[in-house]
Amino acid sequence: MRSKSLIACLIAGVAAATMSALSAQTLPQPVQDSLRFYPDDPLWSDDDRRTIPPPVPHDLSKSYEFVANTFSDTARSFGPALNVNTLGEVPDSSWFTNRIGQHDMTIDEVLRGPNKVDGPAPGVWQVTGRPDAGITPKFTIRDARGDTYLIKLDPESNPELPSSVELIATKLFHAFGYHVPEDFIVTFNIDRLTVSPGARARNASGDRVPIRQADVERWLRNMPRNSDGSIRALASRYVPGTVVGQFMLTGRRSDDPNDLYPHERRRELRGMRVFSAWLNHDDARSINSIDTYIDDDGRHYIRHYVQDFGSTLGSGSTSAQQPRGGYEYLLEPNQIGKGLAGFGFYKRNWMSAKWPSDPTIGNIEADVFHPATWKTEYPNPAYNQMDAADAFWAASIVSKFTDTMIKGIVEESRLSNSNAAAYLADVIIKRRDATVRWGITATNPVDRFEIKHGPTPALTFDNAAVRLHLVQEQPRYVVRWASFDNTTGTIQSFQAPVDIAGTSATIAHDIWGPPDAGGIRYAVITISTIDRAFPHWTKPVVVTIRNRNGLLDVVGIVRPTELPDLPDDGRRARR
Amino acid sequence: MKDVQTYAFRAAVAVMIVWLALPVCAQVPSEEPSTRASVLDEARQGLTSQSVPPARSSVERGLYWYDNQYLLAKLSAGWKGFHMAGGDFPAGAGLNFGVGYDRSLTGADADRRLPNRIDLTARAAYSTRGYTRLSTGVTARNLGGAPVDVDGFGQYYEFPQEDFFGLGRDSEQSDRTNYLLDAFETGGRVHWRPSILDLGGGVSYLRPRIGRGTDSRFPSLEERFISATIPGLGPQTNFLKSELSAAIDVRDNPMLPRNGGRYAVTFAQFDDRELGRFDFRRTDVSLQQYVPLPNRSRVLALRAEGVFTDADRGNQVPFYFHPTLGGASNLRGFREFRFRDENSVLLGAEYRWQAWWALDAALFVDAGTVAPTRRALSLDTMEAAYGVGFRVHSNSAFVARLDLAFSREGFIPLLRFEHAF
Repeated sequence: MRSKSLIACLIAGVAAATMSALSAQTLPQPVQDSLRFYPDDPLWSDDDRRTIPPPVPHDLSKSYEFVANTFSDTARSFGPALNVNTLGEVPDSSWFTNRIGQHDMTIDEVLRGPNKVDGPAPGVWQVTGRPDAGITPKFTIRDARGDTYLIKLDPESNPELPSSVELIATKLFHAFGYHVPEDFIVTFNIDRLTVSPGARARNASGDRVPIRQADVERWLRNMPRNSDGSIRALASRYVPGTVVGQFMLTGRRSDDPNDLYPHERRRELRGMRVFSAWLNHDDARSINSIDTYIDDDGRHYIRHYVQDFGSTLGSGSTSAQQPRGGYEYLLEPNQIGKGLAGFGFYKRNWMSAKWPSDPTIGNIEADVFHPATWKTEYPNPAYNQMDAADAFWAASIVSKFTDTMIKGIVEESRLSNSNAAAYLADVIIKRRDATVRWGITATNPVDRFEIKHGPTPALTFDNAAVRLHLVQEQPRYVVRWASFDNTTGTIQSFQAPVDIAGTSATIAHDIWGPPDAGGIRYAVITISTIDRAFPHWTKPVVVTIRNRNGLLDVVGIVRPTELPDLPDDGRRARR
Repeated sequence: MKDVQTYAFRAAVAVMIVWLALPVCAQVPSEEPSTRASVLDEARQGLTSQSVPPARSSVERGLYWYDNQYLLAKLSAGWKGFHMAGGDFPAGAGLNFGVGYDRSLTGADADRRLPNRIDLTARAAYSTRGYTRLSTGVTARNLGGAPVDVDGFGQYYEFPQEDFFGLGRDSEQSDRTNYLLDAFETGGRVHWRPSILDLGGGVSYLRPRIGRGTDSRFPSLEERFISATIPGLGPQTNFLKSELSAAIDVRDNPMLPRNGGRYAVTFAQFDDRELGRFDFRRTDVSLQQYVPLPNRSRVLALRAEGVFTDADRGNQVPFYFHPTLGGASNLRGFREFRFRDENSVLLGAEYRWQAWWALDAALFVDAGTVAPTRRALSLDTMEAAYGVGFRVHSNSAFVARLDLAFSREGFIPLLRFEHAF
């Protein structure tokens, strides 16, 4: 049984590599050859920051994104994530920087987030425009320092809500590893604003007309006010560089040779589904990303940002989140059919959710929420390709956030009602626990592989589910050793499976495969986890150990990708 | 034959594989890279020569153009105050087209909550069945910062195909006729809206005229009915109408109510200014209640409406001011104006459930009756209609409904852009 699982796993890997080679036609074969190791593996920095010529700005169509993803599957490349190193981790790149997932972060670092300044400079703010995109009421200002900020206003019905959730989500997405704008909670009085000469905005008829001071007063007239009459808002500092569009969630940007992998095969985009589920970021879509052409110490390339977190947690940007938000797509014909035929007795799970009554919190809860069945507003092709390995990667990052960090981030959002803040922190913590539980247990959770050196070297590991107290008892493990020929990329001479006690497997001196051109030898161990509650954990994790003249290290980790069976809603969520 | 197909298929697959592999093979370097970084670097070098600006498909081009034209905004907001407008015609008027003009005389700010705001409005609309309406008005809003609105208005309308089936609940469907109603009306109103209360009053002068119906499918009213039996069909007159109204509105969202209620009464006095034969009073009572059912996706909507008229001694109520039952918003399943008399009662219930976030379905039943006197109104004489409906809405506002209504007189589909209640 275990042999069959292993063979199936390897065949699936080879098939996936072949498939991806065909689908990602421009990629040289070795890029996807996960069965061969190079001396510099595992790579922790993918140098996709080579200088490229200035790209032509290319904006995406929000209508097309909705139509294409709702009525078809826009993904063109299928299979496991491609942009991972041989340990299954995402190297640093223009898309992602390993932060809390690989390095400990202090609470101060998490709270500081991406911020390089402390917000708009004191003094007058010059109103410079009013962006068309998005539905949140907003305008742009230039501060005394010359920095441009987007001022995003809270709706009358839900004071503090969008600004607080956007700040919280921005801090968290930064700590995950994404590039995000610098966001600040600000308060200001209207007399601080003057209209910059030449500032224009689109009027109700869609024409761009000059902004007058009266317009600014009108925008702000019905905004919620603090007790001193000031207005609270979110100030989002413009990201550096020239905006050249947004990134798609499928395919590559054709004028960016740095953009090597189809986006639906990038682990940080697929695994983002886990982060989005945690934070109910149901508005995660291409149109809410931004690509900028930056000058990074003389290197000119495209950096990829995620932004616009106004529709996260209990916020729906211009109101409280719709009760459906995060539980059901905008358009699901089968749900509509059941809803019609059910005469009101077909009950969706979100209908039993209990929402807080505080308008500064909106509609967010943790009891009905399940990360497996969580959904964006409409299908997200990268999220829908998330597999168990992606989910494990992301859930591992989520597990790094402590209660204290979460409470600190919520405090940063400056909610005026302390009870509301406490509720929100509690919900985020509960949703974190649910997210970690699901993501970690979605696949065989053996983790943290290390070589124990000595006369009889051994491979030690732990079980993330045990470490995170998701299971009560230490499961059993069955391992199989094999040698590995790195020249041909083949596994040779499997040994008999061994039921081991504990989480350490002795490395036999005769297990190594033949030396490759560099004189390096390799061995492979497959580890199956036996736990009756999680039968899918028997699918083995394949770990490759490298022997460089007696210096051993772990060089390869391949985790099973198949997600366990989920309720119907879950399968639909992933399509 | 099958073998030929098989070989052809295999050949095609082989060609495809070679074709797909060409770019891959073309980039395989002569010397194999020795590090992962160099592998990736070479792959990116290879992409440099293939770099082309991103292109949009034809569908994406079209939708991108749509995104950036703000068509809906332009259509709804119009141009320099001009915009498309409907005629607010009765059911059966056919497709209607119109233009409206809105302008604030106190500034360009569109916020209706501004104090002492004065708005000018004008409408002109026409329908495929010849219905016409021209109207204009001036409204002073939030006078002195208080929730008080005062408006003056004038309108002319011509409805050439209004249905008439006779008076009373015993009128026959086969007696369907039509008539022309045109009228000029001018007047003023004042509204005070403190919180949930809405108190109003107004005076207007009306000049209604009855004429020959233009619907060739049915006889004109005067061809089947004689003026002696139909009050108001004979000599025409003008009216001075005085009106008082009071309403309490505790609906959670008037645009899409799911909880609460609205309770309204309107009292109107009609003074015949020409003939002295049609002085009467009309009282409209409307009670609506919305009862949310468990799990928030279901609502029981209830309504009770009554319209009662009283003519002065020796006077009558003109038939065109009679309350009517039937049509799109009451006693659905019967045609518009199917029943009319001096008094009417309507009871209605809708069980609405959320089928989709933007679609509610409904089962409804209406029951109503008309009678020449209030005492003659009886539950025993009520006509019933029932049906199923579908309501399209946004997250917070009703958009349109399709009601499939049935009654003893058949089936009527009703597509409307206003709530039944």
